Amino acid sequence: MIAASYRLALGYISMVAHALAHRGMLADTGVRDGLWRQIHFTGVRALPYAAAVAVLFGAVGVTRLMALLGDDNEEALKAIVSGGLGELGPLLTAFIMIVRSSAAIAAEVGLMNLRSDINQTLWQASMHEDEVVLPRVLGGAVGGALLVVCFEFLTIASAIVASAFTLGTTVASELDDFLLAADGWQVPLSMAKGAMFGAGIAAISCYHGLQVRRDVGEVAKAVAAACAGSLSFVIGVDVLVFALRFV
Amino acid sequence: MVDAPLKRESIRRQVLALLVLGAVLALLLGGAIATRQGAFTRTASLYFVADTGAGISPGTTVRLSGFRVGAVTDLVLQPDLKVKVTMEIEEQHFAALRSDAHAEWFKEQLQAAIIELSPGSSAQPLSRARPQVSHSRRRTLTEVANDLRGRLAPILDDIKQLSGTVAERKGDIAAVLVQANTAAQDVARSTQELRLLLATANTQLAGLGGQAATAMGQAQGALTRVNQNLAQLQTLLGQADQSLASVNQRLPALLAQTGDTLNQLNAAARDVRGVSSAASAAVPGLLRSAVPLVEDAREVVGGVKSHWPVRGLIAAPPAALLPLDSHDAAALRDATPP
Repeated sequence: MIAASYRLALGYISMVAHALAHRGMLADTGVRDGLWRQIHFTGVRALPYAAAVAVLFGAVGVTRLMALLGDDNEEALKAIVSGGLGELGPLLTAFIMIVRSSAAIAAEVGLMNLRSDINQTLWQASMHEDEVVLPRVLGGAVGGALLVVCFEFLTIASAIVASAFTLGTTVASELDDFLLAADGWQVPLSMAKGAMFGAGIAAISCYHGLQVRRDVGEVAKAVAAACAGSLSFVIGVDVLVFALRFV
Repeated sequence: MVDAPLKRESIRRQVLALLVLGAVLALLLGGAIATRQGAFTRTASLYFVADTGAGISPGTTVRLSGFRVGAVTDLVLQPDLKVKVTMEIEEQHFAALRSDAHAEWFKEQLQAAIIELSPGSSAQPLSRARPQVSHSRRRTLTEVANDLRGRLAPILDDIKQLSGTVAERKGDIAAVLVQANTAAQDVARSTQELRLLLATANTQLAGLGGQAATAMGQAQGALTRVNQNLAQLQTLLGQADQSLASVNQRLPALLAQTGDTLNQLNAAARDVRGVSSAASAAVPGLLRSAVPLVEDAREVVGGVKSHWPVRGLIAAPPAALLPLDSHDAAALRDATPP
């Protein structure tokens, strides 16, 4: 179990390292087209789902918590803003990416691998492989960051409006409370977390997609493994970031 | 089928739009937070020295009149083990602070610690060279609860002892309660009787009032009559005074006349006495010679009556009534009227 996990971790890291090592390939038109497609799929196409979840999360979750803990409770408001937006925002966005992008990337790469007979020689030399990993990892990172900032903005907006409506206050006062309770660094930090989650999910999905060697039946296993690995990665990183705050 | 270059271009436009949107939202969000928290506002520092830094940390909110105007930026432990707490507040609010400005720390349950600034009332503004304000700590709810516990614990112990004593004397208390119940019933009865008594007294008083009013009316009438009588008496006295005055005037002459009359009466009495003494010597002989004369006259009259025609002119005497308590014939004869 530990050996398998270690092997998987090494494989995931090799994907990221490979993408970083071949970052010069972005000059290639094909790679750039792949990058645009990946950002479009991970960011633009996922935006409606992320927006719906964000509005629901802000209107229901944050409002209920504030009604329970008190809208004048500054400590509670800080906890909600920090935990709800700084932690849950990137986490929920990552789940959306896992559901949509991880399965898609793993399946796509697996099928490409089957059809193109991608082998170790090509992996080392051909730019064809670079088209597979680099645009997806980079596109996943950019798409993840954009999704997170949109998610947080919509969550805050819906939470402020819903709080003002349910608590009988004004939108301006709720906005003022939020702006006082929030920390400026939370926005770039959450975007960085979103980018990290996106890149990691893409790298893990690419890794499992590239493991498909013999038949189509392995694609399903690769998709399942990619989703499980991505989920483990997201939770592990989140726990790590949470623990680093107390170091 | 969509042309590949067109599709590629559409994808790029959408991605670029998302990139722009994400950048704008991130800048808007971060900029608004930074602006509201004073990142672009001029601030001024002030500090206070506290005995302890417990409950205070960098970022602790500083309020003025209930509004957040700044935050704690630094805590430094001094050589004398006191803590220098530095705060940064908005420049515009610093000007409102006076030299006797005060910073009070307090923390409610489940709420974040807050430092509330009081601007002070001194005429001197807070020095910018040495912006030190005084400091105090408001007791937290836990401290108040501990204080209350310390005060209430002995009282509760006493209550516990009292309740134990009460439990031991439960039988006595029951008896007392029974007696109290009886007493209460007696009191209720007494109250009812008192109520009845009061009602009766009220009725009687009402009657007495009527009678008193009547008596008063009568007394007033009597007084009126007395007044009238007094007036009459006064009139009579006046008349009496007048009569007495006339009597006084006539009395001396009347007394003189009375004296003369008495003298004349005395003289008459002396004459009568002389006449009577002379008669007393002649009357007995006269009376002794009158008796045979009377007897003779009776026999003459009797003889005349018994002879005719006188006898017919004289009516027969009526039969004498026999006295009820007598059988004496002489009585019948003597009773016959002449």
